[in-house]
Amino acid sequence: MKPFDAARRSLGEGPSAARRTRQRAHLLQRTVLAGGRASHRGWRLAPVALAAVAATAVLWALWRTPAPAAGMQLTGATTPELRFAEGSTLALADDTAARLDVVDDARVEVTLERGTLSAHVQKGTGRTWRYHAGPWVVRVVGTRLRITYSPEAASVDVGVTEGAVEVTGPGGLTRVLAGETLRRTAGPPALRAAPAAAEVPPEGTLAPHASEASAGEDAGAPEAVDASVAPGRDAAGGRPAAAEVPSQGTPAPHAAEASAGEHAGAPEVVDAGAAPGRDAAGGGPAPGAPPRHRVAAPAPRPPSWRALLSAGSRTEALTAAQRDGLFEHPEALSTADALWLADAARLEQQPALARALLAGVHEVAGEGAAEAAYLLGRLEADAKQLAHAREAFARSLAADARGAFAEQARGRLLEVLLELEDLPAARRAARDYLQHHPTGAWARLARGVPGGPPP
Amino acid sequence: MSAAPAHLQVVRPEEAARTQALLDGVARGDGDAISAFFTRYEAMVNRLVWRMLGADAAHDDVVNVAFEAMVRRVRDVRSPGALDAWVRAVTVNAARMELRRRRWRRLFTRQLEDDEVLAHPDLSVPDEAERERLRWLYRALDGLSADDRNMLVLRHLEGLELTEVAEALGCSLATLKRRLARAEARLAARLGAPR
Repeated sequence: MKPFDAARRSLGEGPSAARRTRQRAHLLQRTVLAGGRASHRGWRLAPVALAAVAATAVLWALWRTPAPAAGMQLTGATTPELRFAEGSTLALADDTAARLDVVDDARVEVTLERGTLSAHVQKGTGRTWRYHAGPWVVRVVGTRLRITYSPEAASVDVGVTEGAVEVTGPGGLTRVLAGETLRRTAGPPALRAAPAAAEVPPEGTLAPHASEASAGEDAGAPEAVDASVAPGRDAAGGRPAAAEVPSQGTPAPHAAEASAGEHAGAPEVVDAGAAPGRDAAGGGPAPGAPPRHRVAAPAPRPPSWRALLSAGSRTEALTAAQRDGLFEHPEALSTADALWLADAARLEQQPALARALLAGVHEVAGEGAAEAAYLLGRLEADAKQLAHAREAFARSLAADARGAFAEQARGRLLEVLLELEDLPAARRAARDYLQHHPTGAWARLARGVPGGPPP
Repeated sequence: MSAAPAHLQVVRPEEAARTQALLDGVARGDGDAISAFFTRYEAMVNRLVWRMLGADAAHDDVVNVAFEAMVRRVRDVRSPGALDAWVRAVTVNAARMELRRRRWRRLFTRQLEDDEVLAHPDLSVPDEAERERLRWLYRALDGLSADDRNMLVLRHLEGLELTEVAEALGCSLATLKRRLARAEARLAARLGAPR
C-alpha cells in the first residue's frame, strides 16, 4: 500500500545509536545489577542520570556478584544464603543442592534436589513462592519455613514457624500452619503438632520409592494412621486428603487406579471358619469342622478426585468430583478444594465450571478468599463480564489488601474500570494503586488516567 | 525441497547451539549474555516499536519494558528456531499495552489526536508536507480498532509475512487473512485513496 511505503521511508528505522546505548545500559542495570528483578518502571533519563547509568554499566563488568537469578544452581557449600531484593532469604544446609528455576516479579520457584533449606518469605511483595521437592510442591506466601527432601527415601519434611504453606503431591493437598511439621513419604501423610524447630526425623525410612507406591503396593509404608487431620482444623484451613485405610476384607485397588496418595493395603479376605478347623497340612476343612464362610470382597473403590488430581489426571479428577456431587453445591467445598478444582477446570478449558467453583467460595477474608476472588475476576474479565470482574477484584482486595494478589487485583481492577469507562472510580483505583505500588506493573497506566494522580 | 515457512526459521545445528547457550546465559542473569541478546535484537525491537507507535515519545520506555519482559521470561522460548518469533510477539505485546494506555487517555480527555505520536526527539522529518502525510496516516490508523491497526502496521509497514503477523498477534492465519482484507478496505476508506 502506497501510504505505507512513503511512511516507511519517512520514519526511518528508529532512534539514534546513542539512545540505543542508553537502552542497553538501562537493561543491564535493571536485570544484572538489580538482582534479576526487572519491573515495568517507566524511565526518563536526565544527563546526570545518564552518567550514573553509564558508570553502573561499567561497574557491572568489573564486579559481578551473583544475584538471585533464574537457572542458578545452589549448594550449601558455595551459596549458604541467598538474599532477594525485597528481603526474602533462602539458606541452605551443608549437604544441600537446589536450583532457582524462576525469579520474576510474580513468582520464585526453587527446586530442592536434596537436603534442607530454610526460607523467610517477606509478605506483601506480590510474589508467590513455590518449592519443588521431588513430586511435592510447597507453596508459600509470607512465612518462615524449613523443607527437607530425601530422594532416596522419597520423603519430605515441611516445618513452618510463621505463616502457612500448602503442600501438594503424593498424599494430596495439606495446609501446614505455624508450629506444625508435616512428614510425607510416598505412603500416607503424618502430621504432628510439633515445633518446626524439632529434630528432623531420621532419613532412610521404610517408605518405598515413590513410583512403587504409586503402583498401589504397600511395601513397607508406615501404617495408615489418619493423623493428617489436626484437631481444631476447620474446612477453610484446607483439610488434607485423609489417608484411606482399607478395612479388613478390602482388596487393594487396581495398580493403575491407585495414585501415590492412596493407601493400597494388601487384600485380606477374612476366612472366619478356616483357623479352627484346618487339618494339619493347612489344607481343606477337617472332618466335622463347621462350614467355611467366605466374606465377599466389596467392589474396588474408585480413586478419589484428590488422588487423581495429585497424580495429574485432571479430566478424571473432574469426572470423579462430579460423580461425588461436588459441583451441585460448590459452596460446600473448602476454599482450598475450590481453588484446586477450579484450577483443574480452567486448565481443562472449562471456564464456566471454574467460575462457578470460585464464586461458591464462602470465605470473605484471608489469603484463600483473596486468591479465589482474584482468579474469578480474571475469568470474568476474559469472558467480558466486566461488572462481575469488577466486583470480584474488589472482593479480593477486601479479603486481603496486602496479600500476594493485592497488586494484581488493584491493577486488573483499574483496567476493568477503564474498560467500563467509569472515570471517577478509575481515578480512585489509580490513586489506590500508586499509593501501594508506586513502581508496579500498572503504575504507568495509573499515572495516565486523566484527572488522576500526578505523574 | 521447498523452503520452510518463514515463521519456522530453519536454524543450523551449530547456530542452534550458540543460540541455546545465549538463552541459557540470559536465564542465568549473565551480563555478557544479556548484552549480546540486546545486540542481536535491538534493531528489530526498536524498529517494530517505532513503527507500531509512530515514533512515540514513550518509545524508549516501551523498548525497555519489552527487553525486561524478555529477560524475565526467556525460559518460555521453546527452541532456538522459535526465538525470533518469540521476541517479536513479546515486543508487539509491549507496544499493544502502550497503545491501549494511549487510547484510554485519549478517550477520557476527548482528544482527537495524540500529541505523543511523531513526538520522539530522534525523529527527523524536516519536510513539513512529509510530516503531515505521516500524521495523516497514523491518524487514520488510530481510527481503526486496535487489532486492525496492529495488523496493518505489521503487514504493510514492517513488511512481515502473513504467518509472522499471525504469530505475533496470536491469531490463526485464516483469521488474519479475513480480517486483514477488511482492515485494508477500512483504512483505504479513511485515507480516501485507492489501494
